Amino acid sequence: MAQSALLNSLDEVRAALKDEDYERLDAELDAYQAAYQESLLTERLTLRRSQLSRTEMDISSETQTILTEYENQQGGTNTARAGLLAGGDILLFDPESADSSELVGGVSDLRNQETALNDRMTAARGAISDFDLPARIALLSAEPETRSPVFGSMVSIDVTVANIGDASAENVSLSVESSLPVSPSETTLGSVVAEETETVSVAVTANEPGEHEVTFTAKTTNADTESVSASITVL
Amino acid sequence: MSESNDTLYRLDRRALLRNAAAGVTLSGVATSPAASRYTGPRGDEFASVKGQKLALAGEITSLSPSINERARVQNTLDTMETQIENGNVDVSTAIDAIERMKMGENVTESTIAALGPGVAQSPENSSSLVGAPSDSPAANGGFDIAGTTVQNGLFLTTGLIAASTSFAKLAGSVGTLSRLDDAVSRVDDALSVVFGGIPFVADRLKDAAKAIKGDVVSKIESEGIKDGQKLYEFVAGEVEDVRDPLANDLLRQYEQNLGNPPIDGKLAELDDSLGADSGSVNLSGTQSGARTAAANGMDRLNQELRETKNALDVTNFIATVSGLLAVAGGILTVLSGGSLAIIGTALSVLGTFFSLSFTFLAITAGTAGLADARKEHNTALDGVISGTSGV
Repeated sequence: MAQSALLNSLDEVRAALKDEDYERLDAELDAYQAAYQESLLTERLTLRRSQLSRTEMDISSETQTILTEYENQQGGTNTARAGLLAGGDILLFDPESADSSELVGGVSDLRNQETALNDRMTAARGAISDFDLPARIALLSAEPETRSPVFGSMVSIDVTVANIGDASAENVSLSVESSLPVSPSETTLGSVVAEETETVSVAVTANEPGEHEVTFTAKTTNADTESVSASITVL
Repeated sequence: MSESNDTLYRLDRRALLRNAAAGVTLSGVATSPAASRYTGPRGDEFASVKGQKLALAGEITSLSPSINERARVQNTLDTMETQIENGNVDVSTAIDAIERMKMGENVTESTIAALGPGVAQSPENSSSLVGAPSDSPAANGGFDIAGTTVQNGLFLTTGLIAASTSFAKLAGSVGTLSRLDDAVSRVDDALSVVFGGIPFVADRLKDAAKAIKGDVVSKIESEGIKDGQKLYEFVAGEVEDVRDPLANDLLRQYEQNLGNPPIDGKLAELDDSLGADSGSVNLSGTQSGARTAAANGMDRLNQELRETKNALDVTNFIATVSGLLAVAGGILTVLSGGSLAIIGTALSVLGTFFSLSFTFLAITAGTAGLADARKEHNTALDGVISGTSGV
């Protein structure tokens, strides 16, 4: 269902571009974003499990091929998504000096890539389904609601902690550091079982203009620590 | 071959020349008979084989960022010589055992030379038993899968984060472009394919790419350069400076940590199989079986290298990275000039973003090639240890 909604929205984006109907384009781009947002966490979890399998397991050449094809497709699809979002926004900002035909071909490419990604992700999940991966904590998401908050505002960042392995991760915690005030700065999550995700909402106060990093660190007692940073620019 | 790919090959040649200048080539390694205490029957032959063995081990030590094969072999040979002198091992068996280890080490030398930045003397090395075929990517001793993987990763990462930075700056300048934030997040997702594909050097790769990106952005903003090819050439100079250290770090993982066992672990197993420490040498199988196993292993290794090379030589890779840098150049130049009304022209360079899936292959194929080459190395050494070509 999600896949068909995704492809339908791209068909509508392409039609709107061809018709140079920018109001409709705006709405269909929103629909496309909503459609792929549904699968983002699954994609990130699968990608990390694929990479963990290639790193930690002695896998066959056939499995290696399935996983690398999937990973390559995941990278390509995400850059194509970025291209459409950036191109769409620029076009909507300045339709007079932009040429919508530049994006029509890109949308067709992206549609093919979305289909290929769905197929290859299914194949990858099947290829590693019998593996017994060690516990591994991963930070799958740490995206601010806006990357350019105005001075004095509050920015919320939802952080998704996952165990991408097949063994349970014990005593998991999340800490947050930044030159801006953050709350909470420490969260205890306890055990996180295989492929489970936990989301923590962190509030950042934009009380100093300029570029800032917010760094999240997830720890567990039986696997490696992982850190990711989100950049925000206070206007 | 496109002009762009030709540039990549020139970069590789520069790396070879730099390594040569740094003395990584092994022309100075002695292959003459080593000093030997044992002077009994076949004493000269034992000393000669021992010298070849030490030279080969020395080459591995020079090529590898982490394996000290020279020290391990010296210890084994000293023990072996003591066993001969004590009458526990006859000299013919000892010579066969050392020849057996040379067969395995030769595979190791070729493997490490093909995987890392070091340049081996093989197949011209006089102490080599099995050389890489002339059509192998490793025939010149300097294929460097790890270096090519790191180099491709740095180029792609720098291009993507430079473009992503331009999206973020554009979004910051024009408050209505809210989807650009999401575009930056999708680029971050794409970058996780690169960093997860080379996890062992990911943090250093990130830091290096961020630093290079900072320099590129400064260059665009201060000099108004938006030509992708010119920006690529600027990036290439900075990538060259960090390529080899990162490549050696990546190779070190396959030597010491990855696989069951990693390369060094299998080499230690080969050394143990000689039985020098146990006071007796019992070689399994036959010498010809071991020799065939080594030769077959080299064939499989070279086939793996050919496939990896084809995957790493992605068509138009440099043109693609230049395209990403052109996106950054176009947007940032417009922003620097304060002329937002013509930002729409940036659309003309966004096409690169829709055809990048093949480009990620230039990184994932590298780590897959490193893992597969390690496996072929270990399989070959298993055959040498067992003295059977069927392993």
